[in-house]
Amino acid sequence: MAYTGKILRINLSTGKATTEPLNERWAHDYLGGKGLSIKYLFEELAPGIDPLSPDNKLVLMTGPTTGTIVPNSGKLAVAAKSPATGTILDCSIGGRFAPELKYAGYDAAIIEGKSKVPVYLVVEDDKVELRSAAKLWGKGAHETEYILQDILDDFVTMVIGPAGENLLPMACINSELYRQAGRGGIGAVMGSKNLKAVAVKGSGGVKIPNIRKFSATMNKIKREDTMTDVNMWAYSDGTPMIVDLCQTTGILPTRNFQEGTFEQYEQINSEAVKAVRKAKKACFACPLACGNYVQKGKATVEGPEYETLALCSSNCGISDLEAVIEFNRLCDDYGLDTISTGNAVAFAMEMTEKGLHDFGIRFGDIENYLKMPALMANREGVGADLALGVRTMAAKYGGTEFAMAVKGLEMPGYEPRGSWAMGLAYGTSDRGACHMRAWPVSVEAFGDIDPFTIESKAELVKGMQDNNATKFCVILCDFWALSNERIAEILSLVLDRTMTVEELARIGDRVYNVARLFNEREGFDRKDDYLPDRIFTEKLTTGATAGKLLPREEYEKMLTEYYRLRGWDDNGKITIAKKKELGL
Amino acid sequence: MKALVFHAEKCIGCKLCQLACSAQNEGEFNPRLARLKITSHYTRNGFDVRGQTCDFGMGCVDICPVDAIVEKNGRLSFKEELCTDCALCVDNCPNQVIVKKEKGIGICVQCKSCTNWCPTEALTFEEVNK
Amino acid sequence: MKVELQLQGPLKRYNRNTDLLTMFVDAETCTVRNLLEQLRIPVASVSFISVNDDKESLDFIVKGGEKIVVYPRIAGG
Repeated sequence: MAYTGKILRINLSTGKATTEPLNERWAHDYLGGKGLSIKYLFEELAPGIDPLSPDNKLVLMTGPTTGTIVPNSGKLAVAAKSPATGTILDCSIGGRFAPELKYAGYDAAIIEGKSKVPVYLVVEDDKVELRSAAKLWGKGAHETEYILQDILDDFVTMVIGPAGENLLPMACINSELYRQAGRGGIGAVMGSKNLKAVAVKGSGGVKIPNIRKFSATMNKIKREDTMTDVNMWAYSDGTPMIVDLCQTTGILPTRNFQEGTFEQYEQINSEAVKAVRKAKKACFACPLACGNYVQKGKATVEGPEYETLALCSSNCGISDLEAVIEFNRLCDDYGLDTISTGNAVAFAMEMTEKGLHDFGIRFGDIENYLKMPALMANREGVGADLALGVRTMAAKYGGTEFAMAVKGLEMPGYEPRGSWAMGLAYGTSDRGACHMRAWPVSVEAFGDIDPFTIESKAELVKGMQDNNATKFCVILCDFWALSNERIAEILSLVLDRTMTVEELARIGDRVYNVARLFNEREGFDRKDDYLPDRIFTEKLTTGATAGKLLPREEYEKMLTEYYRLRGWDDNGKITIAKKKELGL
Repeated sequence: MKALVFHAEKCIGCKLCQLACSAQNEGEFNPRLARLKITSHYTRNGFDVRGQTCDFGMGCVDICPVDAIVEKNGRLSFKEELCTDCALCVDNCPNQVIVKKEKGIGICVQCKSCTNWCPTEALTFEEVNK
Repeated sequence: MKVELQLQGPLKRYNRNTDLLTMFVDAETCTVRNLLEQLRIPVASVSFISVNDDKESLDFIVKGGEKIVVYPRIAGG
């Protein structure tokens, strides 16, 4: 069965675990993953709650394909109200936690309340237990997983590091050391509940009608539609592949987004990463294996991913790959999101160089750069400031125009001045600046569509957002570029009912709207959908994007058009007619 | 004689082989019911990839007291009606790839689901010397 | 005339898994698209190409002596 039909609810305040039936109507309308977790939070969270209070909830949500042989179906949605932005927040994490949760018998786990003392949660089928985490608290994420490996036999774990314990807005959740639910401070939500780790093991399986035929069909799809040219970059290179593409098109964030090219890019590009690669690693049920396990000198990590290379390397003016690998490992171990951390360090570097505030670190300063993860995670010295995130740092010390964040979430590795639709995607993403809600660089900067016009961009972004929203409900990995026809084909088999591309489009639109409605309830509207001033007012100076900016009036037009297409008013609020249409 | 051979250096740890095996032979997706065991994870001692597959050593055929496991034409087959659930084969399989079920056992019957699914040719059927 | 081609990522399989190759072309008539056709690389598998580090259209006419890089399509992301 595509769903186990059961949800596990753990109240950390009372220490009680209960099970309840999955809300079937919601599962029908939102499928699973992103959409279903947001729907639960929308219905269950009171407006205006403090994201770090016991009132917030942490939802771990699988999807209808989880645990099956469908390629790239190993992901889990992890959702809560974001402590970084105050918006809805859903992350997706790879590895193999999601299938294990389903094998244990649950479509989802909802964790609420707050434990009085540090605990970790152990779920083995219907046995649910809270154990003291006194000996784990304060430990790095990696050490925590190793200790749990020693104590528990064959469990899959998700853990936080010191950054999560200390409630940093860039704290992530780790699994299998190097897989993260990275953004928006999801790790701080876990930390605020005094929850150090979740371990799960399941003895059950997933049954699908005509399973042998289903497997044969999926194997054909895997060969003909997954392991193809457009996806195999993940296996041959992984995300470092993107460095060269961004460099050539002038969208590689460099020195806190002051430039779009990095003169030493060849030291951090895919060839450089491949030269130190020891193994390829995949998430559960993924034939593409984007993970690169690397070792350079004493430094070792699974990574660094493109986002880490962009934000923690070129954006910090650091070209020494060994240092970047070590920085990456430190971030993972302390439980820090590398995108937001790289941005915070780069912002501090620019502030220092401009003489606006002395954080004691400048572009290219490897020695101090490598000290930052520990200082930040422990809120020590300058780390206490960097741990606030760039928006709050700027509010305190100035530099708002180059605090590179939207809604308080730091910007990923694609310069919007060289890909205008990417700017709109950042502005209208449900959780702040995010590259996973829509990734129009693939067709603008890297494709045939002119990056420097707003023509048809609103439509492009909306379409991509809806498609990705659907994909993250299923829940499939972003890296498999598959059509909605293909998703409909797979879901029809898995759900044993007819799924159409029209229904998928409606689901994507519905999910994007319920996320918007959540944010609207928290007071978000048009005023929050803007990019930092740097993007609108400063021209880039090098490479393919020299002389480019994204004119504010063009952005305004694009935004208004986008709202119109969404059925939102000029202030970005969902119209009554739209709410009615979607049954919200 | 052909047997299943695991090439650790090619394995990406996706578990598609175990999913394919359990679907084919047990009718559900459940890697723990697969008749091969592949683990790929990080430990204190570094990145660790291990594979246990049936190497056709035939210890199970020899040890079964009721001849419920037999070899015929280079393949193993299991006769559930003869099995007494003594689990001697399970306990003595040097590769620990015989699955104990509620009734009877699961043994690699060389159905090739795993090799058909492996995306990196980390699993192959090869001639082995016995 | 000669041009140097670099195939990135999964596109190397169109050149026996090596990334660099030299191709001989008729100057003034041969486009990059023609070169890709010769190598049997589907256009759908290509994000874009660069000529001497600048992004160019596939209809760029090769003059000889250029360094051309072919970047794979990265659709998901």
